[in-house]
Amino acid sequence: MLFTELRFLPFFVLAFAVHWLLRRESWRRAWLLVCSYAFYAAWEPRFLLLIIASTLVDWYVGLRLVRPGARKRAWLGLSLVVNLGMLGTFKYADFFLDSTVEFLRLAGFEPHVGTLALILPVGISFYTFQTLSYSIDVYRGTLAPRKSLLDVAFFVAFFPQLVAGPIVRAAEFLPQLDVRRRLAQVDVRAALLLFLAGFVKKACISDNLAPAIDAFYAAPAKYDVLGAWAAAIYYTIQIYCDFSGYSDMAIACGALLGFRLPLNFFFPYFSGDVREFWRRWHISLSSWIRDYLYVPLGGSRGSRLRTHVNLLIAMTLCGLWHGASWNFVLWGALHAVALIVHREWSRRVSEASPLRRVSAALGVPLTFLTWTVSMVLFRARGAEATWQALRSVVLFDAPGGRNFGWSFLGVLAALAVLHALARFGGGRALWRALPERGFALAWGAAFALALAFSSPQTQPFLYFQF
Amino acid sequence: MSTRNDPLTLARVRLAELVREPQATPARKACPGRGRRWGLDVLLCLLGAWATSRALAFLIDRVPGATLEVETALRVKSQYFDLHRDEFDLVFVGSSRVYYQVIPRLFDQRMASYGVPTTSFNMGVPGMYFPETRHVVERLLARHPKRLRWLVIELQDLERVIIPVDRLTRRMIHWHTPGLTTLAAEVAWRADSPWSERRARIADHLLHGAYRFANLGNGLPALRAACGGDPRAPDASTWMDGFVALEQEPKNRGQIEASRRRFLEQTDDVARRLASRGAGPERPRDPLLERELGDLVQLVRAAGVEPIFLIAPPLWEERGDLERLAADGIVPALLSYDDPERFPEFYAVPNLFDFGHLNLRGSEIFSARLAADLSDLLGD
Repeated sequence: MLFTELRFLPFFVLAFAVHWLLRRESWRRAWLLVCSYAFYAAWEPRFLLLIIASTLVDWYVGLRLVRPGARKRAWLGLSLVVNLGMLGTFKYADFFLDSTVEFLRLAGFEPHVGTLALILPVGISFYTFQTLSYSIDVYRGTLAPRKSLLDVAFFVAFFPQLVAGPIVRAAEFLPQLDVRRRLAQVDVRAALLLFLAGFVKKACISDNLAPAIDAFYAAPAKYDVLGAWAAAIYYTIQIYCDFSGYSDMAIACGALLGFRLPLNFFFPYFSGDVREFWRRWHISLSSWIRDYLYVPLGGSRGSRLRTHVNLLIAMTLCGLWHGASWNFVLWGALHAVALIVHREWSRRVSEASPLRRVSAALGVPLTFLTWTVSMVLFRARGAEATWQALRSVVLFDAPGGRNFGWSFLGVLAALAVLHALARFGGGRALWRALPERGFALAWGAAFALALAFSSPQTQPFLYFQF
Repeated sequence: MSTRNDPLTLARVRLAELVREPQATPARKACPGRGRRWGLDVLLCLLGAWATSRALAFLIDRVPGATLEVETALRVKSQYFDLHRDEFDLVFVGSSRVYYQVIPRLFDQRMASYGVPTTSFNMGVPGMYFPETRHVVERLLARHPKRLRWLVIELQDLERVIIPVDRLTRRMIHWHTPGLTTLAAEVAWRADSPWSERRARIADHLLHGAYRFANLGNGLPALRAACGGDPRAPDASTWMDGFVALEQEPKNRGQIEASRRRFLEQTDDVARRLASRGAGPERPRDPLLERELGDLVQLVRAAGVEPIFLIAPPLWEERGDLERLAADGIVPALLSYDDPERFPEFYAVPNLFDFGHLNLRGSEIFSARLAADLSDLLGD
C-alpha cells in the first residue's frame, strides 16, 4: 500500500479515528500494531514473519542484556547475527554468490553455483537498522529494555515509517510511549500541510518525471548529451521528491497519530559542500551510520589515514545498504572520496584564503553537480548501460540523437523556483494566516488540484527497493 | 556543530512541534464541541475538494485533446475530427475491427458510384469496447457536427470492457463517467466468475471512476495543450480518414508481428474454428445490453443522426444473440458479417492478417462490401 494510493485514504482514516477513540494507551498501541501488520500484509503477508521474528529476538535479547551477569556480547552477537543474517540472506546472498562465481570464472574455474532468487522483502533494510538500534542502545546502556513485547513490536512495525523510513531509533521513539497522548497535542494543520507537500513531491513531480528517466536509462545510447544531462538532472529531482516526499508523508501520518518521527531531509540541494549534504540527505540513515558504524570504527579520533579509511568503510557500506550491486558500492566509495577531498581541502586551505571565497560561491552548484553525476551510478542498471550513461554525462560522448527538448529547462526553472520558495518559507505564512474553516476549505481545494496534476499510474517509492 | 539558530536545528524544532508536549496543551475540558468542529472541518475540506475538482473538470473539458490518452489513436483522431467535424456525413465507431478494416476513401468512392455520395471518417480505435464506444459517441455528438447523418457503430456485447494493458491509463479513466462506471460495475457484478474476481473488477471500475472524478492525471496534459499543444502528437493529416492497415501500423509492431507469426503457424486452425462454430450453447438475451443499446439509439437520434450497427468480421463464434437484436427492433439497422457461409471471403486465409483481423486486401474487400450493403440499406 502506498501513501499516494486511493486505498490508503480509507485505511488511514479508519486507523486515525479508532486510535483516537480508544481511551487506553495500550489499546491504542495494539490497534496501531494491527493496522501496521495489515499495512505490511497488503504487500506480502508472508514476510510479516520476518518482522515478527526480528521483533521477538530483539525483545528477548533486550531483556537478557540487562540481567546481572549476562554475557552481553554474546546476546548482542545473537541480535546482530539474526538481523543482519536475514538482511544478508534476502538482500545480498545472490549478489555475493554471483560476484564470487564471476571472480572464480576470471580465475579460470568453472563453478556451478545457482542463485537463491529470493524476493526482497519491502523495508527490510529500514526495520533491520531500527531493531539493531534497540539492541545496541540497550547493550550500551543508553536505553532501558522494554518488558512489554507490544511496545517493541509497535516500535518495529509502526506503519508510517515501516517500509521506507525515516529510520527511527528506539531511544527517540520508545519514550514517546510512556506519556498519554491527546489529539489536542497534534498540530493538525501543520501535519496536513506536510502531508500535502509530500504528496505533491511524490505524485505530481516524481511520478511525472519517471517515464522520461526510465526511457533514458533503458537505452542511454539513443540519447544525445543534452538528453543524458536532462535525464541525470531529472533523476536527482525525482529521487529527492520521491524519498523526501515519502518521508514528509510518513512524518505527517506519524504526527496525526501523535508520534514524532525524525527529520529525514533538509533541502540537501542547497548544501554548500558534500559534508553538509550528508547532514541534510537521508539524515536518519547518515546519522545511524555515523553513530553505529563510523564512530565505533574510531571516527576522526585516529590518524588522518585512519579517518579516511573509516570514512571509506562507512560510505561504501552506506552504498551497499542501498542495494546489492557494484554500482551502489562504487557510488558509496565515490562519496567517501568526495568527503575525504572536502576534508583535506578544509584542512589545507585557510579560512582567510581567497580560494575559500571562490569555493563558498561555487559550493552549492558544485555539490549539486557531484551528486548529479554520482546518481548516474545509482540509477543505471547493468555494466553496459552504466558505462554508456556515464560516457554521455561525463565525457559528453553520446551516440544517439534523442533528447527531451529545451522544454526541460522550463521544467527545471519552475521546480527550482518552487524549491526555493519552500526553503525560504514562501506560502507557509499564508496558510497559517487562514482561519480554521478557511484552512479546511483551502486544503481540500489544494489536494484536489494536486490530484489533477498527479500521475494515474502510481510509481512505487524508489526507496522501497532498498 | 549545531547551534540554536542553525537552520537544521530550527527545522528539527519545527518538526518536533507537530506533536506538542502534553503540558503545553490545554486540557480536554477546555475544548467543548470538538467533535462538531472536526465534522464541520471535514465537510468543508470535502466541499473545497469537490468544488475544485468540478471547476477543473469544467476547464479541462474545454481544452481540445487534453483528456485523452496521448499514446493512442483516440487523441489524434479526436483532434482531427474536431478540426474537420463539419466535413463528414458518416462516421464509423468501434474497435480494431473498424480501425484496421474500414477504408473510408474506398468506401466513399463506392458509395458515390452507387449514387449515395458520402464523406466518411473512421473513428475506430483498438481496444474500444462498448462503454468507451458509447462515451466516444457522446463526445462526438457533443461537438455538433453539422453534416453528420449516419453513425455506423460496431455492435459489441458488454463482457469485454478493459484489456489489462490499458488498466488505469488516462484513456480508460476518461470513459468512467458515473453512468458508465455503474454500467461496468453492473456487468462485473453479474459475470459468471468467482466472487473474488468480480469484487476485484467492481473495485477496479470504482477506482477508475474515482480517478476520473478527481481529474487524475489530466492537469499536466491540459496545461500543455492550453500552452500550444503537445509536440509529441503526430501530424493529424497522416490519419486523413482514420484508417491504417495492420501491415502499416507503426505502433506495437512487435506485438502485431508476433500475432501475425502465430496466425501463419496455425493457418490449419482456420478450418477447425469454422467447423466448430455454433457448437457452443445458445446465448440468452441480455436485458442490460438491450437497455444500453436502446439508450444509445435514443441518444444518437436525438442529435438528428441515424445509427446503423455493424458486426464486423472475422468472428469465430456464432452470435445469433446479437443478430436477434435487429430482429427484435432494439437496433434499427444492422449490417452483419459474422456468417462464413455468406461471406467466405472474410474467413479466407489470404484475406486475414491474424485470427482477429483482416489484412489490407481483406479490408479493401470489406470496405467495398460495406458500401454496397449500406447503399442498399439507405436506398431501402
